[in-house]
Amino acid sequence: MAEVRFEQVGKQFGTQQVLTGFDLTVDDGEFLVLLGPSGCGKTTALRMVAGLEEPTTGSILIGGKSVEGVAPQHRDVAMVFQSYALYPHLSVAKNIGFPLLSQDGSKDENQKKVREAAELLGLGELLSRKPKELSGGQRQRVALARAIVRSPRVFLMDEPLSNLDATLRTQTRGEIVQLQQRLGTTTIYVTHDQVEAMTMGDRIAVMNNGHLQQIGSPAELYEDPINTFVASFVGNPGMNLLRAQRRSGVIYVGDTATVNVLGADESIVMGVRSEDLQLSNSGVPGVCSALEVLGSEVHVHVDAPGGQTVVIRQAANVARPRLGETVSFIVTTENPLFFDALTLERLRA
Amino acid sequence: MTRRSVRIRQSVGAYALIAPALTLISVFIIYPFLRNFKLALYAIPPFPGLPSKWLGIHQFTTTVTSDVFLNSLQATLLYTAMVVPLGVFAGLVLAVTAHQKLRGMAIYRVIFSTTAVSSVAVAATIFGTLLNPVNGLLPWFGINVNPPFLQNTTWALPAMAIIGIWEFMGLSFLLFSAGLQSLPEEVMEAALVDGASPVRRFFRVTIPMLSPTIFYAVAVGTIAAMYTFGQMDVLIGTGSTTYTNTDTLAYLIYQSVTVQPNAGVAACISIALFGITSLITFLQFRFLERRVHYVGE
Repeated sequence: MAEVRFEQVGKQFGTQQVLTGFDLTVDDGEFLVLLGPSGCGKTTALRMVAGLEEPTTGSILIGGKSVEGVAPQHRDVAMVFQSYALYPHLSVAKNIGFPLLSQDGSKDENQKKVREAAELLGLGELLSRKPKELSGGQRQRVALARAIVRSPRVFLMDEPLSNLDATLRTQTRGEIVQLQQRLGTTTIYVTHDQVEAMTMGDRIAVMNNGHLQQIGSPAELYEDPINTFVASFVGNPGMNLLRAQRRSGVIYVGDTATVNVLGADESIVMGVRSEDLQLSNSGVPGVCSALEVLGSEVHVHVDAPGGQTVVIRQAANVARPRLGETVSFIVTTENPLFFDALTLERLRA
Repeated sequence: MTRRSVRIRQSVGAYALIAPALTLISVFIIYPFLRNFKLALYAIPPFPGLPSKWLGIHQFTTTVTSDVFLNSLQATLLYTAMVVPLGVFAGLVLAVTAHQKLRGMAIYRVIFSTTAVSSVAVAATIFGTLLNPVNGLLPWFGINVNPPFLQNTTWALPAMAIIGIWEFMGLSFLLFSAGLQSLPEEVMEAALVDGASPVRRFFRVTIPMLSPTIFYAVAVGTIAAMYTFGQMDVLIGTGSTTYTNTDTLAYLIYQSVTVQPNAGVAACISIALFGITSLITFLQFRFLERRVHYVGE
C-alpha cells in the first residue's frame, strides 16, 4: 500500500494537451475515483501511474518516491483493463498466476496464492477453464484476481465494469468495494459513470478537458459543487441550471419570481437539484417535453423559458402531466446554488 | 407469380452472376486438373499426332516407386524442412525488430519485405553470383568448397534452400508484421504491468498469441516449398540436378516433359506431389492447429 501523488503533471500527445497542471494526492489505502467525460484525460492519468505513459511535465510519486523512468514491471502496481486483457491462451489459474512468475516465490507458494485469490473472487471451480469459456462477469473477476494475487501497492482500474450488463455491474460494484476494503490497497478507479463514482469512491476527483475540477467525497460533490460542470455531471439527473436575474433580492427565471436571496442585482445561473423542483399550479411556466418512468419515481422534463430544460423528480404515485401539456414548476428549496453567469464558477454568500 | 417461379428466377439470376467466374475456373483449373488424371494413365509420345499408349495405373505405381522419384521426394522434403522453419524464424525475428518504435523503422520494413516481391530468377542470379567460386563473396571470405557449392552433392541443396529462405523470409515478415500489429494492445500492456520481462512477454504472450499467424506461415510456406522450381532451373539446370541432389519434384515434372518427353509420367509425378502436399497440409491441420490460440475466441 502506498500514497500516490501527482505533482503538476502535464501530458501532451503531439500538439494535443490532454492533461494540464494536474495535482492530486491519493491517500494510502484510499479508494479514489477519477470521474469525467470521455477524453477528459482520466485514463491517461491512470496509465501514467502504471508507467504505460510518461508525463510530459511534472512528476508522479508512489510511496513518496518519484517513478520517473521506472518501467511498469518495477512499479509494483496492478491494473484492471476495460477489456479485462486476459491472456486468451492461458487457463484461469495461469492467468491469475501470471504476475507471480516474475516473483521469487516457489511453485507451491504461487499455487497457494492463486487458489486464495480465486476463492476470494468465487473462481475456485473455474481454474482450468480458458477465458473464452467464461462469461463477461467471470472474466472480470479473473482480471481482478490477477490484480490482487501479488498484493501490489496500488490497484489501477480503468472502467472495469463498462462491458457488463446493468444488473451484473451493480452487483460487481459492491464486490469491488468490499474487496478493496478487505485488502486496504490504495485504489484509483477510472469511470465516466457518475453512479459508479458516487457509490464506490471514498473520494471522487472530477475532471474535464484535462483539468481537475473538484475533489471531495460523493456527498460534498453532490451538495457543494464548485462550478456548473461538476454540478451538472454529478448526480442523476444532473443539477438543473437555470439562467436567472436577481432583482431587489428576488431571483427571477424569465418573468417569474422564484426565491428570495439577498445580493446585488445581476445575471446569474441558479442550480437546483431535480428533487428541489415541484410541479405546481403557478410558478415558472413550461411545456412537458419528456417523461421517464423509472418505477418508484418519474423524471418529468420541462422546457422552461429561454430554451432551457429542467428535470423534475417526482414520486410515481403523483399525478404526472401529459406530453406537450403546459405546466408550471416552483423551487421548493430555500437554498439553491448560484453560479457566476460568465465564469460558471460557484458564487458563495 | 408462384413461389416456385420466384425461386427459379432467383436461381437463374444467381447462376448468371457466377457464370463468368465458374467458366474461368472450369477452363483453367478444373479441366486441366481432371485431364491430368487421364494423362497419367497413358504413355504420351513426344510428338503430336502419334497415338498414346494405355498403361493404366501401372504407370503411376512404376513412377512413384522409382529411385528417381524417391530421391526427388527426399530432396523436396529436405528442402522444405530447411526452408520453412528457418524462413518462419527469420521472418519472425525481422518482424519483431521492425515492430519496435524506433526512428527509421519504416525504411527497414520496406527493405525486409522486398524479398517477398523479388522474382526467383533475380534472387537466384544474385545468390549465384555470391556463390561463384571465382568472383563470389565466399572466396573473398576465404571459403573455397570443392567442388563449388552449385556442383556439390552435399551443399547444392542447402544453397538452394538459402535462396528459398531468403525469398520466404519476406512473406513471413509481412505476415508476422500484420500479426503483431493485430495483437490486442491491452493484453501486451497487461503483461508489462504484470511484471513480465521482455523475454517472458515474448515467449509466454507474444508467441502464443501469434500462433495463428505462425500456423498460417508454416502451412503456406510448406506448400510453396514443396513446389519449388525456379532456383534449380536458373542455377543448376537440366541434367545436373540429379547429380547434385537438387532434383525436386516440381523440377522432375519439368524434366519428365522436356528431357525424356513423357507427359504421362509428368502427370503421375504431379498427382503424387499434389497428394503428398495435401497429406502434409492435412497433418499440419490435424496436429499443429491444436496448439493454435485464436485471440478473438
